Amino acid sequence: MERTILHVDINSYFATMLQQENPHLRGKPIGVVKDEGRTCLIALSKEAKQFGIETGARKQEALTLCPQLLCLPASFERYLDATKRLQKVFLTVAPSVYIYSLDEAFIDVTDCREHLYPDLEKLGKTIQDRIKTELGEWVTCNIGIANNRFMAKMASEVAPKGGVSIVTPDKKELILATTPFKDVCGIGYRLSKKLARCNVFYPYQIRFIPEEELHTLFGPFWSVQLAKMAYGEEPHLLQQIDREIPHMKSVGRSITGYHLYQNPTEIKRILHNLSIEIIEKVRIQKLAGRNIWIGLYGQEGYWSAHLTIATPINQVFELINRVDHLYKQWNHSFEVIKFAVRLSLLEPHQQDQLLPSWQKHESIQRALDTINTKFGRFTARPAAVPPQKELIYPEVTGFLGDKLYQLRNE
Amino acid sequence: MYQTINETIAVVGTYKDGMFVPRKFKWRERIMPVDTITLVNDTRDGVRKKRLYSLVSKGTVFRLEFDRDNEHWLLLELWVE
Repeated sequence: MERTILHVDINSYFATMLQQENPHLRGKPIGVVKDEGRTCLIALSKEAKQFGIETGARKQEALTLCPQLLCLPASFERYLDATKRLQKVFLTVAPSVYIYSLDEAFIDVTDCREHLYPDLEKLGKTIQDRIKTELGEWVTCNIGIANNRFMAKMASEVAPKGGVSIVTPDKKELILATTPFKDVCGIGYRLSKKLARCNVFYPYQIRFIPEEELHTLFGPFWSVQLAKMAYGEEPHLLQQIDREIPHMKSVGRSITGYHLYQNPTEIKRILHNLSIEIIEKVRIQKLAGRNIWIGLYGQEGYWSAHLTIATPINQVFELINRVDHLYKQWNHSFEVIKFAVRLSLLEPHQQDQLLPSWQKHESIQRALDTINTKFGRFTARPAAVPPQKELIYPEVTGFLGDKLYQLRNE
Repeated sequence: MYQTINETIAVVGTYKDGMFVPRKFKWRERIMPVDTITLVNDTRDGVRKKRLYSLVSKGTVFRLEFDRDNEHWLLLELWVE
């Protein structure tokens, strides 16, 4: 039987959840910022989008377009819980569910379609109703249904808000010929600009470019991917979903500061704070990593350094020491606005070391883990981190790049 | 905007399908009826579990937090126009 994939996309997720929570916000233009004092709009309600404001816009720019825009901070822990509840709803439909991002999921109903879901339009409506029951009556979603994930996602992009769109062979050609590249999964900003320079604005147009020319223009990888997209086939990015990933390969964390930093103590404390979060995630997943990377971003510059070691680490004091060692290499040539730390080359932590110094650090680390698990994050922490009020807490991203960690079975 | 309150409150409610449903709460000696529960979310920090309720009482939206370990209620925030 032909594959049947549903793509569910919650409309304006972050803003919709705020409107669901607060009836005073419903029907009003809402902009969502990451936190109090932030100015970048990470999400918009459908009412705000009607004013021509785009996601990623600055608050001031948005207010000139829509003076009545209300800007509210996001509540990531609530969105993550809502996503977990959505996952449960999808699992009642079919066992094969892939949470693609915080507000998107693919459901494969191929095996249960014949007997359980002969009417796909009805199935789409049923899922929409269940989502409303679970999260609230204000929450709507688009559902795209096709024979692969690429077309299902495209169908949900082009469906009217709160609609169900089923891709038939005729409709498939129409969607490929009318959906601009900015709405096509896997096409980034730079590639869409390059395609535009070649007068290619829709996937269907790629069919008319000779294979050799496509290869010359876009190289060996993208020429193949673009040719697949032109015919509505699944590109590499979405095929990767089928790949078994036993554990996370790297854990990283970045944060943009509220002002420019030049004090080395402050900078190091922020890097230490991010390191604690990384170690927490790594230890919960029983992993350890060998590559440590730090990055600092300023308005006029960028600097990064990395180090690969022989023995994997998963203790906070060891990571902090390595981060400090890397930081010493920096020449302080610019003021810092963004900070990033990453621990990669992760592998399952299988064997404790016998060295007394390692054993000592491990016993301290275990004590920290026990206290923080019982009494809450950062209850016990290294001294060289920002003061209590400025501590940086974990958060989820819309992309949900750490889904293996966030959606793990506890 | 949401106004931060962070004050302890008393809550009474009923159980439905094994879930506690707040019906009214007492804040600063006033009894506030719960008209609608608009959103409920579970969060956790380590093993500490919390349940966040957003509800409407007399036209005002309140954010309540229930600490599931020590059964303590907190009025976190309320919406002011």
